[in-house]
Amino acid sequence: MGRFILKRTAYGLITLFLIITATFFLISAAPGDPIAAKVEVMPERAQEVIRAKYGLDQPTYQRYFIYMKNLITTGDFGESVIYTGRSVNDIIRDNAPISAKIGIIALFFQITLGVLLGMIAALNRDKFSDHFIRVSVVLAICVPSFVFAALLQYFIGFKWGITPIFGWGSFKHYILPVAVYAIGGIASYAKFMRNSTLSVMNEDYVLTARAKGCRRARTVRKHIFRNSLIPIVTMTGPAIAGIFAGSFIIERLFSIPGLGQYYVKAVSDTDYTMVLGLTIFFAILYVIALILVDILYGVVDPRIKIAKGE
Amino acid sequence: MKKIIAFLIIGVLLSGALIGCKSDTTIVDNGEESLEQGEIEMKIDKEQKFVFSDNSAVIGLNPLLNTTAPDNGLHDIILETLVRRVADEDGGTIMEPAVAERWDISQDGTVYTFFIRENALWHDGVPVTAHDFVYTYQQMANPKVGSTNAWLFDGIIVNFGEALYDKGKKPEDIGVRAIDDRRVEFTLVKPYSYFLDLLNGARPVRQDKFEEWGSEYGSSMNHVVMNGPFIIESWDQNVQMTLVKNEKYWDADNVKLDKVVRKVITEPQVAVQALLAGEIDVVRAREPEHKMLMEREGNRFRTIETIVRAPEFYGFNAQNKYFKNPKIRLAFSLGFDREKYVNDIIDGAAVPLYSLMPPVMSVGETLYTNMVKGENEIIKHLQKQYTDPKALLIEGLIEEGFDPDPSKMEVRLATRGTSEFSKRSSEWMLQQWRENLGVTIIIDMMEWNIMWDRVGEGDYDISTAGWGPYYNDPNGLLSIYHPEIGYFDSAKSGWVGPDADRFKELLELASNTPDLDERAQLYLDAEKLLVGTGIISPTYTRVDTTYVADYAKDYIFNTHASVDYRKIYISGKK
Repeated sequence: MGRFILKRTAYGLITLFLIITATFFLISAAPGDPIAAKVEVMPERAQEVIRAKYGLDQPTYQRYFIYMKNLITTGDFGESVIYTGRSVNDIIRDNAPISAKIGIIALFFQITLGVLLGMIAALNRDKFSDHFIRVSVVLAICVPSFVFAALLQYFIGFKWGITPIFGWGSFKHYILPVAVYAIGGIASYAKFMRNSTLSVMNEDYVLTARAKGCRRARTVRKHIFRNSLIPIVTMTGPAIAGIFAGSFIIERLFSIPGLGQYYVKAVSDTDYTMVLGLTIFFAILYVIALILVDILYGVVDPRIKIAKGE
Repeated sequence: MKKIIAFLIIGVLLSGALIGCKSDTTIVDNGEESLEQGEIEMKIDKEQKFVFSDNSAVIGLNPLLNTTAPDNGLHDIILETLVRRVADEDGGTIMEPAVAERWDISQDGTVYTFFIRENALWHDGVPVTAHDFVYTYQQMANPKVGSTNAWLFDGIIVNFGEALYDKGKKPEDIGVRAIDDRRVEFTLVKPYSYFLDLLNGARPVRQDKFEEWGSEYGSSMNHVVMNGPFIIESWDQNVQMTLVKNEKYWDADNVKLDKVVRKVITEPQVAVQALLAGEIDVVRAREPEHKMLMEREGNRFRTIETIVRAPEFYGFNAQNKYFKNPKIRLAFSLGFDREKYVNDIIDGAAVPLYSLMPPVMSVGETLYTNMVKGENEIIKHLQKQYTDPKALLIEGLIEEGFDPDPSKMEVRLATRGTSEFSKRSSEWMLQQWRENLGVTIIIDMMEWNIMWDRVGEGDYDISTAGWGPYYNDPNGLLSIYHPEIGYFDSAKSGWVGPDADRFKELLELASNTPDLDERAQLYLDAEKLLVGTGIISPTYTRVDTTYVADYAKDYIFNTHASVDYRKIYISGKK
């Protein structure tokens, strides 16, 4: 187990290094530069003054070495070019928890409700509840989240005045964004859960259990449930990493100060320190999440052995 | 798909509005009456709080570095410079004393002396002095600081550009000096009559704190010193900022609001809902369906329409094989119907432009278009002269030795953005030029920064451009095509030769001419070269519609002067 984690961590570090390098050169090669928005209207020689100030007049490889040296020796993602005077670390520290709060709550509902609905549909195959859930799932997956957001904002927020229309601060502000965030996820988890439950139900060991006289409820609990969770575990890993990234659309529609807005704005501004810092942050989360998923596989399904090397 | 969804949302919004609209819609009132009533009664509510929203967050509080539109809008409230341009009720503007209680201008118009008022204080109680302004300008002239507005003073203040571009002068050498604590003197290169307008570009910082906080200056509300009528109480970057009345402000007695809240709402439809729900007090609506929603509310809101001073235009690359010929350029410039454009594409919320100057630009205190008796509507005159732009185009093609068949031309139009609007307006132009000139252009959809890059490299045929001038003088718009120092210099516009040289001469002549009528005439001559030879083709300038809650009184602004929050008061809010 220890060796497995060590090995995976080493791979993870190499992956990170490659991601940083690739991102750095890609963002440098992208058209436009971080000060374009600032200097848009300036005459050429005035632009040069600003470029020199942010070190953008130096060749790319040189900037790469400076950046890497800083990153490795201090762990500092550097100062944002756009948000002057603020380090990327600060921005992550201030805003990632907000995205994460919404994301974790939404993820909780996604998994619990999704798994529940998926099971119900599968166990009642071709009955009304199955059809109802399947149609709802298709609808929830197809309708984009901004449409849900607009509808909920209009009816629940504006017409009925139950929740605020937008903004951030109190408990009530969570309701609409979490609902919009969760709805698509609930649907996809339900869809996967239904399919995997159905396939597990046809496995020999389930038939054996039933033939032995094992009661239906017990078969479901002991034999079907755990085994059908594999696809859900696979999906959960990236989802956990994703909650910190937030959902740009939801944050925008509800004016939530999460990290998603910063990320998208950083890319469109080519604010390279921000893009790099955030990419590294997400990459680290992703690598950790994947290692966790590998460990979880073993827990859910003991047939999957993680410690092959041992 | 997008369209269907948009309709769906609109449909939902409208149906809701119909239900929400009760039978009291008989009152037809444009809001002005109720304004008068409010003024007669002059009842002031107990709670003096005004809430507005912006579609983007304030980036930072360092006035030297953070100069995006949301930044400027906020700095206008928390930082005060020497003078302040305010809108009056008739749509004009006046220059009011601010930190400076008065100012003298030398006979030749090149030396400005400002007298700083005794009771001007920073919010921590330290007096605002002449040295603060000297320090601010010196920092701006320092290339290491990288101030984004610094270039505005290049060629205006003596030695400023020389220091900024490290050409033998130091920031200490610039023509800004403190005579004593209360008097600051600016020495200009030329008698620029719009100099007072430029002062807004340099909001003050204070030496002790600027040095103490270094790069952190302005990164949070605890790292800035303020001297405006309001100061920041709390700031949650992408959510809201709360400002409270600055009790140390020199004119605090005349500031009526206790609190100003600035919310961030990115989606226009959410902002409209927020206004209807009473969560904010003002909204700028652009979409016709949003305007309709507001109009249905009758006298709950006042409507303010303002012509924006930022013209939109197409720029032709005069180095292009076709567009080096003025006849071909002009044919394109004359070959579309501007009235129709405004109606089809902008739902009438714009003024078509036949001149580069929006009708709100002035020379001195008089409107430019009045001074030149409408002669600036060059496109209109040319359209009368050349009734068949296609014939003009063919003439040009023959002159350049091309196939006279316009359909064989290959011309690319670079868009400024990839939004639905960019797409629709470009396709509209394609249609018009096909009908009127027989040319089928190729539309290159691209993001705005990529378009500017292409323009920078001269790699374009026609570019989609727009410009908001920094001050209310035709020079603010004409100078962008200055062949040497303009944003669209010769390298970008491809404009060289006798016309370009003459254009430069005219601008320089105008800047040395104190007589306003003469100056207006020189601007007209310059415009005749720029627009009259089709280097650019002005299209339109927007008309903004703002809806203000009726209880928010004295909310006054126009395109030259932003809202003066000192004057607003709340009266009759339920």
